[in-house]
Amino acid sequence: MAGTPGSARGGAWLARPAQMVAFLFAADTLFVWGSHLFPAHSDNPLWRHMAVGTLGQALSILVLSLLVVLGAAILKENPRLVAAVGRIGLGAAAVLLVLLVPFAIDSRTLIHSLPPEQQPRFAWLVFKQAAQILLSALAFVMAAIAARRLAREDAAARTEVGTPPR
Amino acid sequence: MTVSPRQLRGLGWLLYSVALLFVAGPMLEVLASSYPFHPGTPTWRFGALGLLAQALPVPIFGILLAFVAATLLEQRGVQTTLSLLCGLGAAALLVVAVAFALDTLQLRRSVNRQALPNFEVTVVRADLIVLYCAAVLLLTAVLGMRARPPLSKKGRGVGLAGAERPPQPDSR
Repeated sequence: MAGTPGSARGGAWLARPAQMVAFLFAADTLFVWGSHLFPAHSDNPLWRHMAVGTLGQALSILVLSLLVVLGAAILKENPRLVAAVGRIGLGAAAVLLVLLVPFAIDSRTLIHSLPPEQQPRFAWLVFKQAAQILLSALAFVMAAIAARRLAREDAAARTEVGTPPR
Repeated sequence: MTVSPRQLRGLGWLLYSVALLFVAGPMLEVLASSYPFHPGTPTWRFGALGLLAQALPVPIFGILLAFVAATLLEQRGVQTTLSLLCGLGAAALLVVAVAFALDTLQLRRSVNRQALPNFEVTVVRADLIVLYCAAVLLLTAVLGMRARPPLSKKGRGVGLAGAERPPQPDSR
């Protein structure tokens, strides 16, 4: 970005490979998640519950990928990519929060269909998966805020100096 | 916030240790899972290469971390060595991809019809990951060689760097 120190610019070449690795992480994680859900049975509460629950396990990799892309965008001094990361982060957080609603409803339905001795175990599993999703949504929001702030500061710095964004 | 050369050195070594963890951990896991080694058996090769493909993204991330450390510390020798290793790694992965494809063709006949779609998806995924990782390593090798810090006669500077070096006398 406009205020990137000289040494960081020396490592700008790392941005492209880092972005490629981040893409690999995200794409492979989503592919594995999607392949576990195939064939889709969206009218089945058990399938829906499993879909959202297993997504929770994959989210830490997706958050890490987004952070790597953000780091690479800062290294490349690319404010547009930084702003895009902000938008993706906000979008991902919104999707996760929306997904939590059917997840909670399905969990409620499913827990009553289980024998009483299995209910505490299931409740603990649901709590863990919901916490993973909530924490990931928080991380996405934080990444989005950081990216938006960086993009705004960069735009302000460029307006002062008079250089157009790349 | 200014970073002193000492802090930077500490950060660099921290990054190296994390990089080592990321590279060695999954590789040891692959070795442990594929032990005892039977490289002459196509089934063993297929399993081992499949495990390697699954484990590859993390070590490549570790290699990038090592490059970040080498860039921060302006270690030209380390950057050159890492770039050469990346080049060798890319070549090795291309060989692995070809071997995996050939073993797949050989084993495909022994897979029953019901399991064939899953088998094919697994194989395509593994081969794509290996080829993609080879491309990443090749790109990293080329860019890493190009971006090596210049040779300096007077000692080695420590990264982030320019700001922490003593001010240069004005030549005018």
